[in-house]
Amino acid sequence: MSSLKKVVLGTLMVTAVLALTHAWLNLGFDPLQSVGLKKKVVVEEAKFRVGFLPVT
Amino acid sequence: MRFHGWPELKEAHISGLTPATFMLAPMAIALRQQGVPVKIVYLGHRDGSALMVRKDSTIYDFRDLRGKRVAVPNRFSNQFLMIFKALKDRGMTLADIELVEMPPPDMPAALYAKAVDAIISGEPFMAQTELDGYGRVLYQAKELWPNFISCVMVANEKFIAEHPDKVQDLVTGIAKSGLWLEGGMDHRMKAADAVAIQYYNQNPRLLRFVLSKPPDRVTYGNLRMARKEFEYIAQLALEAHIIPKPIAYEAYADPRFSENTTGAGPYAWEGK
Repeated sequence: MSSLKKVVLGTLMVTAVLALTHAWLNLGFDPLQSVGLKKKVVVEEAKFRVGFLPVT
Repeated sequence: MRFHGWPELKEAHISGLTPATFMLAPMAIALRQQGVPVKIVYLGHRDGSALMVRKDSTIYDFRDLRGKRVAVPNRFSNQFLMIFKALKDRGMTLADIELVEMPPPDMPAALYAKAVDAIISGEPFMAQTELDGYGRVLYQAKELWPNFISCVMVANEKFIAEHPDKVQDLVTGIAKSGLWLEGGMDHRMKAADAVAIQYYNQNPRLLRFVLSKPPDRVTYGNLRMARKEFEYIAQLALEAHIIPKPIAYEAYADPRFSENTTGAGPYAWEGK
C-alpha cells in the first residue's frame, strides 16, 4: 500500500470515528442499540406545568 | 407550579413555562385582546372572595368606603371589577375611593398595620384576618355579585391544538373534583388538609375555616363555561377601561372541553 493510500484511509477512519462520537454524544445515536445489543427505552411523555396562586 | 403574585404567574404562562394556568378572568380576556394566544377553558371556583375591614373600623356599609383606601389584587382582577360594579350600583365612581394594587398574601398585614382601610381578594387571605382576630367581613362576594367568577383555567392555544386530550383531562378533573368537594363537609375538610399541606403550604386550619364558615363561602358545583357571565365581565372590563375595545366571547373562550364534562360524576377519592 502506498503512503498516499494510507493517508487517505487514515483520514477516512478518523472522520468516521469523529462522526460516530458526535452522533453518540450530541444527537442521541446509540451504537449499541443500532447493532441490537441494547433495548430501545421508551421515554415517558413529559409532564406539563399548571400555574396557580394559593387562593381558592 | 405555585406563584405568589399575578404578574409572575402571567409572565410564566406567556413564556410557555406553564401551558395551562389558573388566572384572573379579566386578565385572561385582556391578554387575549393584547394578542396573547390564550383561551379560557373552565372555571376554577365561584364566590370565594370577601371585602374585609378591620374589626374596630367604622365602615359598616359600602358607602362608608368613600375616601378610603382599598387594596385589590390587580387592576385585571374580578375583585377590581366587583368594586367597580358595587360603586356603579350605588351611583358612585372609582374616584370616590383610593384603590391600590397589592399581592393577596400581603393584604392581611397591610390591613393589620392600617396601611389600607379595606382589602378584597380570593380566599384564604381574607379569612386569615378573621382567624387572627382583627378582620371583619364587610361583604362576602355573593352579596355584591351573586355567582361571582374569579379564577378561570386558561390554556395556550398551541397547547390546546397539540394536546386537546390533556386539556380535556384537566378540565374533567376539575369538574370531578368540584363535584366531590360539594359532596359534604367531610369532603371539604379532607380537601382542606390535603391541599393546605401538599400545595398551599398553609395551616390546614385556615382552609378548613374557609371551606366551612359559611359552607357556601367558596363553591365548586357549577364551574362550566357561562357565556352570558363572561360577556358581562368583558362589558364591565370595557367600562372600567381595563380593556380598550369590545371583544367577542369566541375570541377568549373555548367551551368545547367544558361541554364534554356533561355527565361527569364526582371522584371516588376519600382522602388520606
